[in-house]
Amino acid sequence: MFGWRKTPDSSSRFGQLALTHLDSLYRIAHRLVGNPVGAEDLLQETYIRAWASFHQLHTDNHCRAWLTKILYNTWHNQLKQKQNESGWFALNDNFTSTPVPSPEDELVAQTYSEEVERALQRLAPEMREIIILADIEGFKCREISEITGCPIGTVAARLSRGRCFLHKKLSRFAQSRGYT
Amino acid sequence: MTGDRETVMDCSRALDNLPLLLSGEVDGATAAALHAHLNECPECHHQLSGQQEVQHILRTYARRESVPLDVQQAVTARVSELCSTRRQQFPAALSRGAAVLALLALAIVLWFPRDQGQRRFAGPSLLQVTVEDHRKTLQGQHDFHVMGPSARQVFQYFNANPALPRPLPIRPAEGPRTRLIGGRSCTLLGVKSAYMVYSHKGHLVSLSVIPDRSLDLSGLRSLQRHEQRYYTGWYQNYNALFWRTPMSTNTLISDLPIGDLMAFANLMGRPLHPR
Repeated sequence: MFGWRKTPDSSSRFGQLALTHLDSLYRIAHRLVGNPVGAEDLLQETYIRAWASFHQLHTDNHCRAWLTKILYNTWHNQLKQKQNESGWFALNDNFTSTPVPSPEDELVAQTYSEEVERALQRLAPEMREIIILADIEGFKCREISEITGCPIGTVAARLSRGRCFLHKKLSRFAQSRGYT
Repeated sequence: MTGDRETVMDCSRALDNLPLLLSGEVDGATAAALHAHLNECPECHHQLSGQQEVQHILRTYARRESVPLDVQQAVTARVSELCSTRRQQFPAALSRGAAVLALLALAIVLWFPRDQGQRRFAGPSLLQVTVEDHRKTLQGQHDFHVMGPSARQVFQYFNANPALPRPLPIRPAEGPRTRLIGGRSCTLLGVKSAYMVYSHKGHLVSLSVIPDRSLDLSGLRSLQRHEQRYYTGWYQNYNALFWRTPMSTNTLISDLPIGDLMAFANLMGRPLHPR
């Protein structure tokens, strides 16, 4: 029961592992939440939970999927809480300010396509989450099944339907970029 | 088509299996059946190339930003903080004993009937703070900033020590949870009360605890109408009043909330008397 013993070794191991995947986790958080302030909060909450259940991570190779699963569950818990306490969150949403884009943001904005982002936004949320995990973050279907708790068949079917939808929406974009 | 379920492949099943084929997660028999089907079915073959195309477009043209520097710093600070709060190793037998004790304590807590009037924020213990606590906070020896036992004493303390650092900072690494950053006891509406200041998402939020009172905030001009309704409901549920204050993190804690609270008290016709 009290398996969560933290030792100096586990502290340094957690510090190293957790920060290795920061970029990937931030991208997923940003896409799930939709704003940088919320993404930061989600990240911090994820790390708090990850530290509390660090003993459950047995192999370091599995760390990214494990952290992503925690982030995904945290996000869905927050969504449920948000629905239950809509008044409180609505008020706090007023607190979020529009961030000033950094030079890094501007550089990123030059390389990604708004059209692709718009097409992604049109996907149903359950399909979008899986497409993001598979095609942007490079997770395998089996890992996505573990992260989201969906059967692998459901993951593959949603992925297939999501890609089919995007293929139709992005046909003109694909032609303009030389895809057949 | 004939054969067992593993090797029979119609278009619908093939379509659902394409992502598994692309990520190399199908077994040999299914892969062979899929390839056989794809060779015969131009429509499914077209779907396969379409999926590969979408994969490539997303990997090339979807937004892939790095974590911003300020977020990176905040998260790194949080992780360091988490790692520094490690627990000591206990022998397994001791852990099991502690578990049994914790279960017993939980059973006792659940067994005893609770006073329905005491729900949350019953804690005068949180408010037993002194000027000494305040001094320690300013010296960085406390985790949160404590205002002191009364606003008057804190004001006197500040006035007597102009060299004290001001304004009181909110640490950026305080994280997503609402944190107590200050509190004091006071008499509000003739009732011994607690006035506390919280931060939430880096913004200041004030909280006043007034036991066993019903309250209508519709006359409080500093709140918008939907906020008045919301906070009135919150108060009635938790015997506490919670509202945001238009403060930046650079504002002195000892300024605005007390003015707001005094305005509230005056509005209710019961002046505020700091203890």
